[in-house]
Amino acid sequence: MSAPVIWIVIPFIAALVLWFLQDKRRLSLLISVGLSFLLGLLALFQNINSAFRIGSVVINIPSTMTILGRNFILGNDDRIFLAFIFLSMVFWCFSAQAVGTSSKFIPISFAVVSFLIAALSVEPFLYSAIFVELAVIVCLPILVKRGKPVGKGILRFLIFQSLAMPFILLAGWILSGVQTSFSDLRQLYLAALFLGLGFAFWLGIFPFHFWIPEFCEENDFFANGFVLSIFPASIILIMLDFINGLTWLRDSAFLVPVLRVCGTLMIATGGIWAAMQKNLRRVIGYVAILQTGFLLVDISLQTELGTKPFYFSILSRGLEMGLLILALKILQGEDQEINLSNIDGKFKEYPLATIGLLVGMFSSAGLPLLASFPSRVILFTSLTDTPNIIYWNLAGCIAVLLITCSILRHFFGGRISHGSLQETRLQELLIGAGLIIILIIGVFPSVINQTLWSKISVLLTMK
Amino acid sequence: MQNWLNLIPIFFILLTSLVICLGTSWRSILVAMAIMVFGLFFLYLQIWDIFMTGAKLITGWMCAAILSFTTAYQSNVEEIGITPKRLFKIMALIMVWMVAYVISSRINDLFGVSPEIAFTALALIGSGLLQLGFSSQTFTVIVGILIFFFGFEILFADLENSILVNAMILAVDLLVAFVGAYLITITRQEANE
Repeated sequence: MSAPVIWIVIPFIAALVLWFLQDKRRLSLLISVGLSFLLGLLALFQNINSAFRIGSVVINIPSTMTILGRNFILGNDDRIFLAFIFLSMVFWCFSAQAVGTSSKFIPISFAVVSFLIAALSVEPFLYSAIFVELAVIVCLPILVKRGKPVGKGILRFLIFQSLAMPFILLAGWILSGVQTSFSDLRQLYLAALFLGLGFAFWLGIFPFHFWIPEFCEENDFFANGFVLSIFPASIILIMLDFINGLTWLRDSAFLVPVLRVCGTLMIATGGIWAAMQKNLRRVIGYVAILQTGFLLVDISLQTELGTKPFYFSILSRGLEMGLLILALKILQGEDQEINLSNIDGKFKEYPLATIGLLVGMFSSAGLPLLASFPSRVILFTSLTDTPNIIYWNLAGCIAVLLITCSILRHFFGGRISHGSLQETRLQELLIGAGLIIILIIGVFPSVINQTLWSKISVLLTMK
Repeated sequence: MQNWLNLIPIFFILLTSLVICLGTSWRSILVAMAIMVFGLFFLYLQIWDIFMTGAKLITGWMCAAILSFTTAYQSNVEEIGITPKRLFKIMALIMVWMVAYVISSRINDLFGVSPEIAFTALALIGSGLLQLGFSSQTFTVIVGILIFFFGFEILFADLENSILVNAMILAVDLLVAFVGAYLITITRQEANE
């Protein structure tokens, strides 16, 4: 049984099975959580290209699966991503149960994850574009609600993600032609331009990011949040994989400044625009833009020192987004709108959700003793040669801090709510777990640094 | 121009893209889309064998058919006459065609694609983008995405002859039509009931 069968085919089959078990929500939850946890643990502890033993049974796990002459390759360096995505699926499945989202969410999220892993592993690279497009199309049914009009944000999400596919396919075609000879610089620059445009559409990189806040504002915020959490992380890893595979692109003079400038623009605009919002769902959308910006700046470091904040940022981003989305969904309840004006005194009814939202926001801003702080410190110390980038990044973070303080003032101030506690036990458990992990990463960065980074660095150097 | 007979399907493709862009009614849009696919069929015949070309034709028609299932949920209000909005759309589309004509020779230099196919592809890509820019309704957005893809596909067909890639792109076309039909029906169902 090859690695792609385990981490692509099995989740896809699970998605099909879970689709027919939608009415049995408890069973569906058990299967999805169990499978995600198992696949996540397997990714963490089982070497690919070696044997997996259960008693006397020995199963070989080769890295390659071939379908119609195309290879799907999942190596040991992909294991950290697999572990991240499947362990985060445990959280998303539990959260789906906790907030009572659509029964379609679990099967569709499995199908999306399966397509995204296929996109990461497929060779030749140009097929990734098609798999990402399939993931986009498959996730649409969970983004809309019966009887509610499809909003502009969701349509723009579909448009921008679809526009990326042709650019990536064309870039892949050009690169497959020039791989043997790099003499035609015109073709190489054209390929770089197409790639840049494709990834910019996929990731919502400045100036193609304006759909993200609108997208957050519409229909089922929980499903939208899942998409905003999983897609950018997966696509940025596909991008990293691709940049690493092309020496001329990695060594090109334009890559670092382009990544840095785009990332900084996203951080600054994301933060400053977030500070001007009244709708909390839009605030989360801008925070997602800011976080993606930080990932781009992390990649631009292009050193081993840069790899560390990148992987820490991916981890902290996943945690923060998960916590923010769950907390906001709990606070929102049945209402569509959640503004600064209607959260006054919510702390009494939703104590853990309000704390979860505030901690998620403070952590996204890079406040000390929280999850993002260690990676921001490494990033800023590595960027001392470009102080302007640091100033603008700090401006984005300060703007997020300002809006968080405003949210905090509303939670604890205004009219005093006399309602009883509204949070369920499962919601408390999930928010509590998220808070503890964010605090542990922030308070004991050196412990995490040693244990996690030693594991990641081993995986990244293994073949 | 390598083949003057290509002017006939290209004329129909441009005409249908104009009809789609003006968007008089869902019926005219879907009929125009089906004729556009038929026009593209003749251009594909110069690149591929009849089997792959036939697959493209059938997929395109199936996309139109899938979208036609949502007719019960479409507005029947038809815009009549030449309004300033329509005039602006026509002007914009003509500009797109002019730009496509100018760029097509450069595409020919870069990729070695025949100029008429490059022109058709760019004109369709431009029309699709224009449609996406003008519309905020699910139906017209889905049609816009499909036209954009049709334009890209004819360009890509001349470059990449892998059956698997092209088959997967066809699957994406069908899924876009399916998901479009789903989005239209699910969001209008309750309102209609």
